[in-house]
Amino acid sequence: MTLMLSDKEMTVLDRLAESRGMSKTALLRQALRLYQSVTERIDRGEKVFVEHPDTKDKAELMVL
Amino acid sequence: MKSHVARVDLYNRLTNKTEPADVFQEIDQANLDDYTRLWRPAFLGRLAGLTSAAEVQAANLQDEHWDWIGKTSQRSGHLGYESFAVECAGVTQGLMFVKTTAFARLESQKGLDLVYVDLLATAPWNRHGFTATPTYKGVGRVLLVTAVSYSAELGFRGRLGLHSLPQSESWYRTQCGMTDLGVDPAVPPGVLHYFEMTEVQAQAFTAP
Repeated sequence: MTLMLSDKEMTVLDRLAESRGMSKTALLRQALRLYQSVTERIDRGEKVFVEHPDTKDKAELMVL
Repeated sequence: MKSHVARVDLYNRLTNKTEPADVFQEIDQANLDDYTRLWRPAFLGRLAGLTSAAEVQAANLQDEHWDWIGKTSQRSGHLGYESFAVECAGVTQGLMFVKTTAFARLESQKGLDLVYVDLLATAPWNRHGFTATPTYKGVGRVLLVTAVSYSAELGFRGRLGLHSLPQSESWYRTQCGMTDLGVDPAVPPGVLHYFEMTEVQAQAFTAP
């Protein structure tokens, strides 16, 4: 498989890989794991939230 | 598919000799058969004589309810989980499940990916407390080193996280050099300590 990314996508991948201290390949593999995990929870009818550390406000992660 | 990860030496306390052991990625049916045929009856036999939670902890049996067979089935095909087994003398001596979609809490590595050790157990006959004459020494260490190696393989630089049973807290703190972040009230039953291993701690733990 050959993955073609746009300049914009490659820029994001570069930045994320650098900030998280991972190679681009490792980061893409981790993204797949996380995407499967989130998708399965959504498929089970669960909701996925992110919480603000101070206000504790929750925002639902929308996965369509 | 089950794959060979490493060959290591385990010290047999009964013979005072080391024996070759193999670490495998992915628990297979043979491991689960050992659990059913050997581990589970040992757990139940020892539990039969115990009457309190304190006695269960002293007997090193706080994990006796872990459903290795159910979890292996449920997690099959999930990229977010991986399992490992240690085999020696033709028998499963240790089992481990790790989760790979987890993030660090420790301030120095907060938000970075880590391998979360979900379940780690050595066979009952290797445990102090369970028996006065445990057989193999070092199965837990082999599994934790395997988790560190897997973390490095995934690009997580050896970072680990785990919730410890009370019977194992001292081991993770003093023998493994992990950082104890205290009781995590969010994880039932609200008494388990959460530990993390940093990249530096992982290097120290795995140094020869």
